[in-house]
Amino acid sequence: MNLRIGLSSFTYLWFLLMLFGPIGALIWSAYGEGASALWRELLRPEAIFALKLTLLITAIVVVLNTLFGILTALLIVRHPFPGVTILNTIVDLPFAVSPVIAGFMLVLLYGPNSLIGAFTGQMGFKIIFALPGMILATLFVTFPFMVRELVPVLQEAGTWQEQAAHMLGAGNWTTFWHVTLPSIRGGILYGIVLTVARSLGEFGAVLVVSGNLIKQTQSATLYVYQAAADFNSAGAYSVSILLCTISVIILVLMETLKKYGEGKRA
Amino acid sequence: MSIEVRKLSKIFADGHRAVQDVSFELLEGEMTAFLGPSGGGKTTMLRMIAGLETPSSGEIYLSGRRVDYLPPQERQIGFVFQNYALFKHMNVFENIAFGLRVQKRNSAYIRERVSELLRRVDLKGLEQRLPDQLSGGQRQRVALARALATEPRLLLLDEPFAAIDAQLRKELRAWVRNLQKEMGITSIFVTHDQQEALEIADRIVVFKQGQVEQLGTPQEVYNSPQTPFVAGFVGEINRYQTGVKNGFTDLGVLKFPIKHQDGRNVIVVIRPEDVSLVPWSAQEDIQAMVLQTTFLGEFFKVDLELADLIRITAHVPKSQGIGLHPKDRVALRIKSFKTFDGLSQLETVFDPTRRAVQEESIFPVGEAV
Repeated sequence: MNLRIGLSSFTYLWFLLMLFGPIGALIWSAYGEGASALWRELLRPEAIFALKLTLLITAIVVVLNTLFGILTALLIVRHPFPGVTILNTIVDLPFAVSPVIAGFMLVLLYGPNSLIGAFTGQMGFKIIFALPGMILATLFVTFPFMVRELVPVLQEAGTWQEQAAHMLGAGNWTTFWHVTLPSIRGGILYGIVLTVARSLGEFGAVLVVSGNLIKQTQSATLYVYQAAADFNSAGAYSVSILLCTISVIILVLMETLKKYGEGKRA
Repeated sequence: MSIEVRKLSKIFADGHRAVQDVSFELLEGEMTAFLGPSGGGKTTMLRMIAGLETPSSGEIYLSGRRVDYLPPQERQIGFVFQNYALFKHMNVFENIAFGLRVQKRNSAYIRERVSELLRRVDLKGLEQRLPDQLSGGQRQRVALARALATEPRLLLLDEPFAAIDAQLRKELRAWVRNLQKEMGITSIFVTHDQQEALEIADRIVVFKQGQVEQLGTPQEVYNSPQTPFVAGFVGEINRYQTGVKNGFTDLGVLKFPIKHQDGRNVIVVIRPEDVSLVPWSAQEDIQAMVLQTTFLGEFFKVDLELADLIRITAHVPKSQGIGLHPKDRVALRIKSFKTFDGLSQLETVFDPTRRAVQEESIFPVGEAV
């Protein structure tokens, strides 16, 4: 009994130190700046530009990651081919590689001094230090989320329902839309939520490939980093709190989706 | 729709030969059972007819039209899966309507057809339920209604009663049988339960290790098994492996006349119900001692030991079995037996039923011991 009380108080203390503390500190310090200062900082064109850029990147990444994630997961589970186990392992690579290193790899491959970078540069189209590079970097770090979410869901669902659909006269496309997709809907939503959260917060990989140019390639997290470095604490707090709020909303959404998914199953 | 299968084989990627060189023909409007032990190839056979597995070689014809190269959705076959494979995210109505929606029927037709099917499978009022909210028997009936909705020309059922408890299984069997007769739809179901096959099939195909052991009506398969395997799988048997000596089986007191040359190996098969017990007497050829009696409801199963330690099991009527005890001495008469040669081909059928009945009448059953 004493052990249990000890353990649970330790857990609470740990949560306090690790999670609530920092959030509390952020809100407390921001409060010290005053609401009007925060609001003014948030409406600065640089800040608005950075937030818009982050939202744009997130939207594009979510669409691409969802499409390719579903495709990859289907390939891994439903159409195993030679080397599928290797592919299945490589999917996790972005989890293992530091985002900064991931960004660095992209610079090496697509940078202005690389073959591909030089070629697209000639065409008047920059990848690194521009939006395409930032999208690529974010795609790289978020790629495992959708696949990892869907592979077990697809495995558990099996192919029975698809077979039943075929026996009822449905072709591959109808079967995919009306049977496969609805049965993995919960997994897709969860994967999207994780992808959104990560895209909003990604810093390392984006920093390396973007060059952090104000009002050109400065995303929201980069803006916070720059503001903090420039001792513009009100600017850093305002955007930080906004990002934090979005993250909390996403978290709540995620829990709701989870309950919705379970409710459907029960 | 009639079904013809020609020299069909299926070898899986791992080298497993699930079906080997199988040919048969089934008639329109009949209910056929694919019967056999698990791993016998019966489910693979069914899935090849459905188009869910691609044959390695051979041909499949439905109503004379070759279909083995067609995808499942173009074969107009209804399929009831062992686990029902209902669409989990759709309610009962939508499950049954799925095939009709694929056919782009108008909604009035769909409503009418689904409601007719629901009435037929006795599930009215459950339209809005999700599959998870149904019992096993209800799910099975939804699966059946869904398969029948598009009026398929052939209905395939993979172990349709396996996941249902014993009492309900009997009811569902009879119910499915009636439905099939009413609608006159050609059907095949897979089962490993010989009782089920005997009870509701017009025709039974017995599978063993990827090959057809026998195809026939339930009576043919039961009364004239073509191999010892069929005899043992469909009903119970006493089975003896022995040689031939001077035109008789070399089985001690179980000495039966057979036509084969001396020295050949034969398998002798006797069904327990073809062994009758009579009171012991020194004149009887086969004398036995009771080892054990087991009450099985409709009859007694009696294990006996003959001279030379040969054992045999008999099924005797209740009235007779009730007076039998271990160590009792009785005499046996074998009403019929079958012998198969070493290659498991049927060779001799001995069925002196008439004689046996006449002789038995000397001993009223009640006083048999």
